Amino acid sequence: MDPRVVARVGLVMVSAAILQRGIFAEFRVWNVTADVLLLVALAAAMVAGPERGAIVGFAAGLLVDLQVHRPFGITALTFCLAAYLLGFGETLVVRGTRTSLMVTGFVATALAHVGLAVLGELVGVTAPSPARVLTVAVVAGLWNGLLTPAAVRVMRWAWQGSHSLRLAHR
Amino acid sequence: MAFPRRFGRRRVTLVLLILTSVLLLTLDARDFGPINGARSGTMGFFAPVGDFFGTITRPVANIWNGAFSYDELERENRQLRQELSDLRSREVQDGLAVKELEQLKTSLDIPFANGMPSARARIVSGGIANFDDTVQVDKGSSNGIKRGMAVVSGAGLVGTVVEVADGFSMVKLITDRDVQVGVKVVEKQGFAILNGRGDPHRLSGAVNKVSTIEVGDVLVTSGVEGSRYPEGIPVARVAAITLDEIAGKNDLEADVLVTLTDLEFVSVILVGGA
Repeated sequence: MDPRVVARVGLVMVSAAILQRGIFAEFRVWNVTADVLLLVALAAAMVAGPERGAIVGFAAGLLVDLQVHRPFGITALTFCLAAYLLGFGETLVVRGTRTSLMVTGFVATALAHVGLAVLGELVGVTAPSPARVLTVAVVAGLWNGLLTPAAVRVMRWAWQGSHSLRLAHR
Repeated sequence: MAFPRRFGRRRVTLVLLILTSVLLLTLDARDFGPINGARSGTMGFFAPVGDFFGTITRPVANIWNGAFSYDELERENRQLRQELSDLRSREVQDGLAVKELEQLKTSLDIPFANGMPSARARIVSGGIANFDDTVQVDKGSSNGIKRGMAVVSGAGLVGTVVEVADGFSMVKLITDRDVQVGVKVVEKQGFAILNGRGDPHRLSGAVNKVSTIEVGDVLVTSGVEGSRYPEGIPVARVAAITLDEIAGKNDLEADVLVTLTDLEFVSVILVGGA
């Protein structure tokens, strides 16, 4: 991978972590926040495909794992799988408009949060109530859905010059 | 045959990432030191940045969060009105309300921390992710704080210190799904274990069927041997008791005494800890 791409993606991830902590975590709806680092992973999958999306998802998840108190590696695993599946799915469907990007961001974020709760249960973390999981999935999905077009644009910038760029004209 | 080869490479990458995640989960489960070190280092880097941005955004965020917590504020308002009404009727009945008020005032001065050294700390950031019931405070190892120490506010138990950096600490709230607190009611029979469930207001638990604990009782930390919390810290008020005939126990629902969503300052009790 081009070192400049790696540097730009790294910069995007650190900036996302700072934005998450300093801004998005402060603005909650029913105690649910946007998940900007997950969004970075999903946008990477949309822009650069499943393999690179999975790598970015893994790194972004590790960055979250370093800042929260939950089994270390579980967020990395969840983000990595979510990005891979999204990137893989994107190769199978016809790519569409800004609205379809937002819907994709919503669905992928919601499923990733459900996945995080399920994986947590598998490694011994007590799962929240189904109602809470649903609330978090829907609200975080809406947050991330709204932010997806901007995230894709930022990821396009980070990946410019790379052969793997997929969403050049969105 | 580029297509299958490409798919094959993708799968190898994915499998490697999954295996790495599983390895990290295993190492963390075994309390692998470098992971804790990396967490402390990351917190030392991001906490001041979060504090800086938080100072700027918090006034607007408070208005925003207030708008989305309207139901919660209304519920608290109703509860407070009810309590006020109860107090007034008691005053009329036997004139003891003044004395009770004095007792209430005394309880706000953290009498449960009497004689125990503590460090006053400001909350600089809430949990950064969903399903993350933690807060970060602006005191750390340089102030004598260690992992496992209890954190309280004037109204009662807040949580436990789980990560410590030089000038910051991460506190896991009692409402976290993995937190268990041993509790009792002063001068009543029966101990209970309360569990967090990710709800910022409620805890649940169980108590022996023969226990004399009733709805409205205030539960305090039991302080039994091996407990990480000193004895006598108020935790929650019993909201409901349901008999579980099959298990032969009573299920408890309890309202957390501290308003965890609106905390600014806490005290870390500098006793115990790892």
